[in-house]
Amino acid sequence: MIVALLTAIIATLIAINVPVIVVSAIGGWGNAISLSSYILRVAMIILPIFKFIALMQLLRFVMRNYFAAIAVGFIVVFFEMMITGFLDLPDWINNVLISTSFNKLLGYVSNVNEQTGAISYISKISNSDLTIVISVNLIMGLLFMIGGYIYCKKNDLDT
Amino acid sequence: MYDVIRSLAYKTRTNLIFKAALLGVTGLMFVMITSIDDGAKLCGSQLAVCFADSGFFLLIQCLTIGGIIIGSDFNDKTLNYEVMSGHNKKRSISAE
Repeated sequence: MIVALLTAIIATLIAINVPVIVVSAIGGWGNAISLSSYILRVAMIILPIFKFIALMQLLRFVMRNYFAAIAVGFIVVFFEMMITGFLDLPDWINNVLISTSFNKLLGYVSNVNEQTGAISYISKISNSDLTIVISVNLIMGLLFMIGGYIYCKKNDLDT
Repeated sequence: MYDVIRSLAYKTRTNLIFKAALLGVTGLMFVMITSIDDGAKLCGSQLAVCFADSGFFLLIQCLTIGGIIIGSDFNDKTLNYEVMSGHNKKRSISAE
């Protein structure tokens, strides 16, 4: 359970970052954002990924079929995107949802300097929100893991 | 633990859906590259910013890759065999 979770997190991070590494190797890093800011951001999205994969693990235990678990996970993400797209939700719900917390941690807001025309990117998330999003993701991920463990322990493992 | 990680990595590498997911990331990369302004020089930081805007696709990748790795971990029934061979569930689940 823990090893699979770790492997899944590492594989996801590799898959997400390979294109950026390849393009950086070809065209250099550039100056849109600093490298340290990107590394910090990638380190921060480990927590939403952890929460999401812990949820997948719980779904896998409950549904006993990983294609069904992937399908339900897809529906969850799609439903969240629909809700956040159409409704103006309060901040605490945005911190709990997977897609919005992921976007908040990873996203940038572009800012155009009117005099020079230069574009600078600033973080979408404020410092106070950052602490809340990180702690909420960590706690929810742990709850999903504990839920999966309890379900697995109390039920027949025959898949 | 290292052996379990190696076996999971092998199963993931040889999985067709994982290859499709990687192909999806590569396709997304090309879409992002074409969406970058012609005047701007293609560089890693620019792509990173574009990637950050496509959170939905990254979540789908995360879902697919995570689902495959966790699913393959249970589909080979290692957990069942460990429990049947006398290990308790707590130890088996934490070691998986």
